Amino acid sequence: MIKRMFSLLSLLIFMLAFVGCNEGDSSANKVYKVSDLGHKKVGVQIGNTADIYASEYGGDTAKIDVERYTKLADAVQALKQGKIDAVLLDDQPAIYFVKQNPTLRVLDEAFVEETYAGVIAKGNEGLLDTFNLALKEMHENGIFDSLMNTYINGTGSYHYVQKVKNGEHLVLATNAQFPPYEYHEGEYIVGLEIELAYYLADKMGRVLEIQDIEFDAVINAVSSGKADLGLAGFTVTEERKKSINFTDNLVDNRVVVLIRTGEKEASAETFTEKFHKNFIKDNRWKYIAEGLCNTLIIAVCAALLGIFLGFLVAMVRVGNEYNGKYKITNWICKAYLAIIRGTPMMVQLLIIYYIVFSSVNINKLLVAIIAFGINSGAYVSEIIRGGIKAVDPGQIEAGRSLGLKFKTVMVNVVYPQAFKNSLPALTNEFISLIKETSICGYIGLTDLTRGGDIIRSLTYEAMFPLISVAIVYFIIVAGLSTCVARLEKKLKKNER
Amino acid sequence: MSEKQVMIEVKNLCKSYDDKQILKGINAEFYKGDVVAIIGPSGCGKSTFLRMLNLMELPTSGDILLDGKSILAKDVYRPTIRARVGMVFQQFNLFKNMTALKNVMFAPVKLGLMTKAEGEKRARELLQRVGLADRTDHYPAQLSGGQQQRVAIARTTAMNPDVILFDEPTSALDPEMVGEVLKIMKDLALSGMTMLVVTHEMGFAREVANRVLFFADGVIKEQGTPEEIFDHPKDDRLKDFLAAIKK
Repeated sequence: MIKRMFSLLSLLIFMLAFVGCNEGDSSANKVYKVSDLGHKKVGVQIGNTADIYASEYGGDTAKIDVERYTKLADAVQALKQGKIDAVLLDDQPAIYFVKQNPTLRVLDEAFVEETYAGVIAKGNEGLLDTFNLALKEMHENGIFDSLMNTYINGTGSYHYVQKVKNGEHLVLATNAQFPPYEYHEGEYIVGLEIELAYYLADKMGRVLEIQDIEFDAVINAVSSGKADLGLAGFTVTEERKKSINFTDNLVDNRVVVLIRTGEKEASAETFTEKFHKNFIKDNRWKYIAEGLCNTLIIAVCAALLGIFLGFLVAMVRVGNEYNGKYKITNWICKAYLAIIRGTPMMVQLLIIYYIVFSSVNINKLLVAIIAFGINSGAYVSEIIRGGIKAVDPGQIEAGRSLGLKFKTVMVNVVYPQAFKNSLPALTNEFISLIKETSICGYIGLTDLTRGGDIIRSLTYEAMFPLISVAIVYFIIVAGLSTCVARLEKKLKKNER
Repeated sequence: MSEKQVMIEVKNLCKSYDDKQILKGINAEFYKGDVVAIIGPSGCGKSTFLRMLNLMELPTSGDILLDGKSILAKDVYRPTIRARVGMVFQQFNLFKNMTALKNVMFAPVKLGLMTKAEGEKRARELLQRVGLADRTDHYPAQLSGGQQQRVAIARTTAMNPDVILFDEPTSALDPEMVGEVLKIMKDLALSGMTMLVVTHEMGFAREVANRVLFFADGVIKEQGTPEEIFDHPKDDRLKDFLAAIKK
């Protein structure tokens, strides 16, 4: 069993390594000026203003073929691999990306010029005023210029450090994939906007708490009250103004066009160098370790919750079938099954986080456990119900003919047999549950998949983080399958 | 016939499923120590009749008295009745997740009639009596049909019921296993147990039963001693039935 697992695993690695080798084969550049963009494949980040501009560009005659990515780093990766012809993005991150990737350059001509500001929920005018006041103060005392020199002009090294260490939190929602405004450096999230927020928090006597979530979820998080403030390089637009308030302007920005230079990468990094870059440097392996830990916690707790809920629902439904006792409860259970099985897991997770718990400050792990547990419960209940129905009705008759109560017969005779019947299907359900937790990144939880994604956004390297994440999932699932196979064998002892 | 104590009295018992009337007014008395064989063509309501006696099914109308008291009254707690009226099934219905020993001791211990130690001791005794002392730790799937039915009889006996109902106990068995089960039933009858047996084993009915009921068309067409039924049948349906069986 274990031997077979290893050979499978090594086959997988070989295949993926082969795919990885093709990475360098980028095609030549096709974009030399902004007007060349019509009919070209152009990458943008979902929710970024570049997305809006790109979608409107060119009218019907020279429409841009827009490819939307949740992470800018993914778009840049796609550009390098020749999957798209250009990336539209803000100029500061563009400069950063060019510095990291010598095979990329920025068109001199800007695509659009615009202004950044922070977002604060409507109705929270107090915070808005405080923010604007703090900003004004920073302009007057020179801190703002010093930060600009550090992050934008590259001529200084000043950093603002939070002074308040204890007390109430000021929650900042951001998407730390957007250098130099906000990005990961080692274990920390840093950037121009982050240090602005530190200054604001100090002024309010609060401790800044940074929530790193998907870019397209930041405004939602702020307007639903999950976060007090959103800073993620937001461009002021009329559309956004309808749902959120903007602070005073922070910095001016140009949306620019990132393209390939057309040159091949000078020297390919060796395997060891790549490995070092992805895992050893800055202790990056810790993202995977932390993610793995969270994934396991969520999967195990959600599975337990799912089994509990599933058993409960299955018992109500089977009880109702036998004696019609729980009509209303049965109806509720049926509605639960229909809703959960009729909607995607990701939508359920988002609804639970942004709507159900919108006004409650609740641990995200708990949210994920609840969401996955409720989801899994629906499938588990049907599996168990099937397992119960597969038990010979003669078993119940025999039990009752001995004067035993219905409940006693169910608990001691029917459920143990039903459990054995359901085991293969239950295993399947938990295997998919483990893999489904990979969408936790959408509520800003660092699960295994997102752990790999963070490394990817730091190293612009797809193969190592993704494959190591895939291997970790594979090992977890293979381990689970082995354990269940053993359990099944043990339970089989009462068969011929 | 000497003074015998009436155990079960059945009064004008009827049973319908939807529009179909299965039993059309059954009247009968069963005495303590009786071994009654119930015979008749299939679909005549024999099994349904038996299953109503321990309330596995409820009659549409009529009454059943156990020791003079109606078991259909509203204040009767049905599990108590079922504990007194045991049943052995055609398909054995042993608890598949329990060993032979556990099958036999489970109900009496669970219902608090015996301690665990007493239950186990009694279960071993009963299994020995049905010739399965060496099969106590086997699961049903590891036993032959005949062995399973013998465990099932031991399981029912363990409850010390007033009467045991047998619903075609040998019909699902391979021919070579019928004998071992009938032998156990005969032993049980000789020990004085009250038994109602729906069966197609005419030899058993003739040899062990003291009374035979012939069911047809939802009523008892004829009843009497085995000699009366098998050697001097009066009813035409009974004659046809016996002739068909002899072939």
